Amino acid sequence: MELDQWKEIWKEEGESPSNDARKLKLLLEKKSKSPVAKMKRNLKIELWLIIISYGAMIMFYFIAFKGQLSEVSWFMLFIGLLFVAYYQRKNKLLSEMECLSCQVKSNLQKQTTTLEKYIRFYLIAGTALAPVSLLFFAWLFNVKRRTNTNYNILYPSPDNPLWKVALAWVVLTVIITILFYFMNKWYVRKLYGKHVEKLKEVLNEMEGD
Amino acid sequence: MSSKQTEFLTQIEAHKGMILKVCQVYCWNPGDREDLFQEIIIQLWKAWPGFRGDSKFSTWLYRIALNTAISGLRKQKTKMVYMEPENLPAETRDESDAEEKEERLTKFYSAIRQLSELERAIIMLYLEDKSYEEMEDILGINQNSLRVKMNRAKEKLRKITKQS
Repeated sequence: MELDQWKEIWKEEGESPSNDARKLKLLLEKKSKSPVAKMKRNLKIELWLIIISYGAMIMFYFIAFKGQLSEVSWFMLFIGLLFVAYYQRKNKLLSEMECLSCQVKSNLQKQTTTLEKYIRFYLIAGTALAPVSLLFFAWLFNVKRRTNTNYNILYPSPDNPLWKVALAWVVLTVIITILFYFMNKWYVRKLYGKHVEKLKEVLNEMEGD
Repeated sequence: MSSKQTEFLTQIEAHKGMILKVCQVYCWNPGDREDLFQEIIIQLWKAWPGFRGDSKFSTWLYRIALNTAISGLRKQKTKMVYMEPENLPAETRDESDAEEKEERLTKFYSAIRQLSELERAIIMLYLEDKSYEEMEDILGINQNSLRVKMNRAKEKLRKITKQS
């Protein structure tokens, strides 16, 4: 069949009966299911989960154990504040991610570049949480359990000099950070990997001759 | 209903055929097609306050519809399936329609689905009788490159048709 005949079929296809205007109006009230809209909704859920869970734990450590572990609350408050900055950055990237009324190519370029930035930021922030938390707990354990004389590689004792303890914590931090990095990388790829690949594939085709 | 909404719905009603065609070209599963149609309408409505009429309404609509179809929806619920007549959209079905028309439509969609996402967009704009200038305005690909891609897509479509 020649392309002109295709045109004929195509035009016949366009002669569709009128749809119910009421149905169209109802669609305007529905929520978008686009990846960016879903990411925005997930980010909001994440924010609320952090506010509720961190809020509860901050209160708990301020009150429990007669406030002896209030450092944990201060640390969590600090992480919570960092999360607000993290939320704002991610929200900004999501808002910049698409321009659907732009030309298809420029929208794809914008989406690909911003999504890659978003993924990088997600990976860095997610990985950085491990060493920051471990170093805090290293400090906390050693301050709070200074009097503990039982042998433990993570606490200083007469048999366990400070340099050994420091080395143990550093090794532990490095191992857990590397694990966190790969876990985050796997998770981010699972979430956005295929989408980025698809966008790049279409973009490469557009840019090629 | 606000006047803004009425104006929008009037425009959509007039151009609904174009949106349906985008959905048919990019989704083969009725559920996916419905989702895409809904998503395009939502995105058009969101972008409507920004439409100043600098470009034609159809150009603006195609940009949003194609952007939503290509980069908007992440995955299809199922792999593309061969278009059996009963899978065709309700609008294209008519009890009195000849079997021949159904067969032609089946062939038409199964040929188009074998093209890449970009080729589908280019062929669709060609079938809509869009000029290269308009295609460039919608897709953002320069006209020389578009001509090359168009010839390649047409050739591919011819080969697919011959094979079937």
